[in-house]
Amino acid sequence: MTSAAATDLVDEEQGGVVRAVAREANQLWRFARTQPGFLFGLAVIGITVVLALVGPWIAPYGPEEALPGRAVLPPGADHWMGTDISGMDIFSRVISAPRIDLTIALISTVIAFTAGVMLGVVSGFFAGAGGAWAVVSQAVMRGADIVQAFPLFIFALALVGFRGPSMQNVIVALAFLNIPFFLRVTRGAVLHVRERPFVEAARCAGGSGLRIAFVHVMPNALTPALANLSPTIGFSILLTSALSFVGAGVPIPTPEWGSMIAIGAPNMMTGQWWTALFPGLALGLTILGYALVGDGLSYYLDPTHRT
Amino acid sequence: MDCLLEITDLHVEYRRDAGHVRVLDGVDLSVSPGESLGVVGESGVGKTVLVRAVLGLLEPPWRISRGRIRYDGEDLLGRPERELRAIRGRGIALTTHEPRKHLNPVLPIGAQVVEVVRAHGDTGRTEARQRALALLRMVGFPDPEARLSAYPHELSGGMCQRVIIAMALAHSPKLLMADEPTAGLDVTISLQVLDLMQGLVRGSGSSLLLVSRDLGVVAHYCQRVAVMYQGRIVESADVIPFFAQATHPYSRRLLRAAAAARDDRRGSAGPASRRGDAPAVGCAYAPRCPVRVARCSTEIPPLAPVTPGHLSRCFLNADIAAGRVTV
Amino acid sequence: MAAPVLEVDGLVKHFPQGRARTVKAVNGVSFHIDRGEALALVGESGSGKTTVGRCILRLIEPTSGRVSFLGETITGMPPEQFRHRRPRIQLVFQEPYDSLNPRMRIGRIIDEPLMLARRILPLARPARVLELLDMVGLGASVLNLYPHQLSGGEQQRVGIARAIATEPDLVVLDEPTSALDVSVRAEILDLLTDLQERLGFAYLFISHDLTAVRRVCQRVAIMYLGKIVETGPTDEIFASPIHPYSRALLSSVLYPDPAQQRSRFLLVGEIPSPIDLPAGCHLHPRCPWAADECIRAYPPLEARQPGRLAACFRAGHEGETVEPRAYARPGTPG
Repeated sequence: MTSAAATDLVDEEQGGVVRAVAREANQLWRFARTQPGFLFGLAVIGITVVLALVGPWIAPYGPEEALPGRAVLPPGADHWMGTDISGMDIFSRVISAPRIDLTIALISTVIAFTAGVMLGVVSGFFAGAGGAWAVVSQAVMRGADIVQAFPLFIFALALVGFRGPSMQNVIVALAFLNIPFFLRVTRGAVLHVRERPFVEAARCAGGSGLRIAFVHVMPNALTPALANLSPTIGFSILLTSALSFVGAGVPIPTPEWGSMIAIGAPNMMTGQWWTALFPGLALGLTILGYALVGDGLSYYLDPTHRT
Repeated sequence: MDCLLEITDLHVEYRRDAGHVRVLDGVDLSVSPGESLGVVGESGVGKTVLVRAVLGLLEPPWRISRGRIRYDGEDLLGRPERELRAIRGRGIALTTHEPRKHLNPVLPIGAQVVEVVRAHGDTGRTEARQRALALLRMVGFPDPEARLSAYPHELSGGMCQRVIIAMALAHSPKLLMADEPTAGLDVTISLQVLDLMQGLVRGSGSSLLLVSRDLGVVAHYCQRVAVMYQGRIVESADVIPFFAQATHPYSRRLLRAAAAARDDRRGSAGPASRRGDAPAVGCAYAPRCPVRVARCSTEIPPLAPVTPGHLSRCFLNADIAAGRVTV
Repeated sequence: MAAPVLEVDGLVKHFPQGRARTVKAVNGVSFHIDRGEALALVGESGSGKTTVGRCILRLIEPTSGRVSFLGETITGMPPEQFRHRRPRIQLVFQEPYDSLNPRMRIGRIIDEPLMLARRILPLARPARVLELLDMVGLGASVLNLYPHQLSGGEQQRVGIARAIATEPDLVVLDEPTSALDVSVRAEILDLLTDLQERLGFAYLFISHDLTAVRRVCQRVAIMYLGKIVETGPTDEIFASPIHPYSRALLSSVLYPDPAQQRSRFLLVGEIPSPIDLPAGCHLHPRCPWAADECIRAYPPLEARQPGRLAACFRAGHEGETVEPRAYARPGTPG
């Protein structure tokens, strides 16, 4: 066989990747059709993404537009979800909020995922090995212990309170908080994978520690972390809302479900239920959807469930 | 009734989203009282499924789609669970190829053996304990008292297998089905386990159905052999004629490979079979058979006698046996 | 006389488990392998044979003892330095599927040792991969497949191709056919003998399967509980084993032949744990020939005939008056 033939085979591989992805997506879709919860969750993700992209533009009113004289109007033809105490249209604000929440959740989760997975791989692969790397592994784990020892919300509050409420600060706080979770979940998988013979084989082939950790072990240990991406995004949205609810999140006029609930809560006492209910419903359904996708994905990715 | 266990045209399938997979494709098998039958086949061919089907242990997505299983003259399929439970352990017992996994890790083995003893009928606790001790002694534990409180993880693989055998023989079943009893055991221990099993079965006049991948085990511990390929029995005969004069091309190939693995003789036997490769029509072995004819790809050959007691599922039976065709 | 490819001298490996217990896996093992020779290391579980293999490859570090490869002492060598020696000692694993990265294609799996060894030009590597596939009897069509798409036999061929990719001087084979079906075993063993004839490397063939060993290896070393109990040419050991453990092992080989004459040399009881090694000769609780001298001291591995070593006080004296014990002693496992 000539090298030309070998290169032909390599080209076929590139096309093969696309076909492989298409096949995988098809299988996932067929699975999804059998799981109503998963479908609901996918729909939620779809809607929130669309709203994040175009929400403020399709909103009938400006999301921060205070309409004079229209304070606390019940849901009706002009205002589908009513207005709040400042005369801002609740519907417009509800559909504009995903842009903020999702951006914060997405960025912070991606940062936490990346950092958590890398730290998890290092600390799992070199655990118990002896030498400099083992010390690093221990240090990382103790650091994670310290972060996780704090009640999540208090810690977030402290971080943001320290630096002041703003979108960037919320992202940093959430990313920092979520790292230990991805770290542990990946480390657990790594501890299993590193015992498998093909890892020994990579050592025999002459690979160095780091190479084996990232080229061989990591791709096989990503499943638990991936399955938790979606629920973590959902949880981050919840945390963002919670922080905003107590005023430590995004600044007030910015549309955000949590702060909307905070603004609207006093109105509920006086019977004006719509000011807090709609953002609350939106928040609850969204988090549920993301969590269900996480469930569905982890069930799908679990090799014992696949035939 | 001549046969203790008679399986006729058994079809078992496995349902998946994409359709179903035929695992057993028409198995015909019979065991006479006091006989030891070896069922041989490579991995994935359905031997474990077969034994579990007999005891009614298959649950969805597994499904028996056709066929008949008769034990002691009575049909087993379609019997209510209550009646099957009475047969399990008492009439037909099963040992497994993963003894440690089939013992409860959080209970001492004494308790587990006692539980089996008490499963059929009312044996008092003290009597059951005595019986458990006797059983453990019977399977070769010199100090059963000490073993009663041991947990499975404290025992070696061979010891776990002995406990399973003790549990299987607790009610003196008429038929013992042993599913790869020496899988994972060291060779010197395997020999002990096989000798033990054979001795106990012979001593009580029970029948033995021994499932194995190892032709050597079957040669020395069974009176009859049945060869399984892709969900069907392709040959069944007494042991001595089988090893001397097997007729089915697949059996020949298995024997050659087994013999080649032990000698200095060279020469291998061709590509291995893969699960799921069975063609939809015709003889399952046809794609790989060196002597296939056109008919083999369109019709399923019946399990037909070559000589009395020696059955083979091949259209060229007679020719191969007479030496007119070499395989 | 050319220097041996591998020399092992007094290899010991103990695994401490907590404070009071130690698993004494290997207890002073010495042997050598000449160029182009195939030596089998045979034993059951607890014999330590797998640990010996791992120590030679420095996948685990020996507790003491010396291993020298191609005349160079590799025990105690700094890991980075040893990494450069790795292309010359390779390993074929027992589990065909699990020894291949499930997320890598076959082509890449075989290419990896070539890439890391940096001995051939990058442009020459694809051709070399194809050459290796051809040598092990696989077609170019498997290049882009994933391990789970191959059969067990094919997966093992990939493992072999990977092992010989860098033209090693010694290939350690850890139970290479145990996980394969009988019909496939013969093919793989044939392949191994072929490759050795063509390419001239030495084999350390670790196995519990005596019949497989007989096909491939010229010499055998039999291990029990961390020590070598007998060595010699394969045919001679098969024909007339000296050590009682060798006799038991050989008599437990069941040939697919009902008429086979079986010597039925049975050991009683279970294999002791390497944590609690019996005093004196490790086999004495199970051995039908055991006598008092067997408990007092461990028999040395001595030459009984030219080229044949055995470690037993009683071999050759078994006909004497000491009553063979029919059962295990109380207090021993079993």
